Amino acid sequence: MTDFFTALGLELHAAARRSPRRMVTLGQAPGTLAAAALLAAAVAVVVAVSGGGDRDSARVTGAPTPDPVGTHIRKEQTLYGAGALVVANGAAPMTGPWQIEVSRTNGERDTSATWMWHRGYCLWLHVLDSPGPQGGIRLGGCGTPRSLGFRKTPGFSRDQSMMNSEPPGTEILVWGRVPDRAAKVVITAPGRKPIEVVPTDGPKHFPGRFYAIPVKPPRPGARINWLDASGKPGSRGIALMPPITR
Amino acid sequence: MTPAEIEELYRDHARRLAGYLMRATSDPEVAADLTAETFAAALVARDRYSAELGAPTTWLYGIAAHKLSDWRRRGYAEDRARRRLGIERPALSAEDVVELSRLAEEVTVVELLEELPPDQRKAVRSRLLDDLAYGDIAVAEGVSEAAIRQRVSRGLASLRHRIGGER
Repeated sequence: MTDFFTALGLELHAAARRSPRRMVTLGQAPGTLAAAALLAAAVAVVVAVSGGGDRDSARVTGAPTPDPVGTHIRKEQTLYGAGALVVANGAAPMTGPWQIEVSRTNGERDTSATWMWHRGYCLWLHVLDSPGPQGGIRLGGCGTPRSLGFRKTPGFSRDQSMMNSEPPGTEILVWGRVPDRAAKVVITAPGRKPIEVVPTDGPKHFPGRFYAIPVKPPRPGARINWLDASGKPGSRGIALMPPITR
Repeated sequence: MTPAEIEELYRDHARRLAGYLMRATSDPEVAADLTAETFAAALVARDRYSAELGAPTTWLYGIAAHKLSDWRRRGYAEDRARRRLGIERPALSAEDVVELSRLAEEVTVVELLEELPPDQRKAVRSRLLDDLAYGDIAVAEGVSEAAIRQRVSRGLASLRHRIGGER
């Protein structure tokens, strides 16, 4: 047996004995969650954990630097089969540098039935300081052209990841897009201080604002919503998922 | 299917599968990517396997065929299952490349099998690759055992002819 087959066999053996990493696509989850009450009254305490953007000071020393917002990434440099546009960037304390990218897709269907794409656009979280191919791990969702990757929540979306944290799950990035009129994004949970951040603008002439919020689980019952300039909730909110809510 | 059974599939079939993919892609790096992704996907989807899908090898080659198809359509090898499991695809050494090229030559029959008519291909695959009894194949196909024997016989004759023609 050659080195390749031996090494791959060992990788499979190790993988078979650990839990798979959970990678949730936005298209799967939010619409399936039950509707709930509007976000309650005003948010009391502001806890600015991370607002994204180049201003973020939590960048990991020596880690890859995110591309500036508005950077066009050529098709050959992505794993999407298409070019991509950087719409937001920043760094999280444990996850490290990240950027949010948009790409187009003609729709794909993985016949193993594990994954499926919709024709339209995809929104990706690209975690740069991770062992994935071509410079980091990417995860996200694809949807119809107007939904920008989030079929059921086109204007306001959230996805969450638990990549690159040790031990796994100690930091989860909650990320997505909010409408242009969104002034803040807030995560609430019963008995916990709200986490409130300011979303960042995407490239000029590109719709929506973007955010990525590092969250330390657990936060049972946690929900995310956006607020307009007057502090009024912009939607009924979206429930977060385990392991945050576990 | 248990993780141990997936590992057994790997031990018994990884090299032949890699050869099949090497022959299909003519690129050792892609063949290695697709081999790793196929087994990772099998590990991820192991709970969905059932005997109704055919023998484990049939199921495994079905996954590989899908990955191969995706690669042809997109121009790059998918790595979703590997990422999900945190599997790193080992780098290829020069010896690995030589070995993959050699394995590609060994899978000629598997490749040619795809060129057979569907009924013969299924019969030959079920009998020789999946090691099913003629009677079981007949029941599954809803035809007589004699018909299955005839399909296998004609399929093998066709394969012999094609191999002879190539050499």
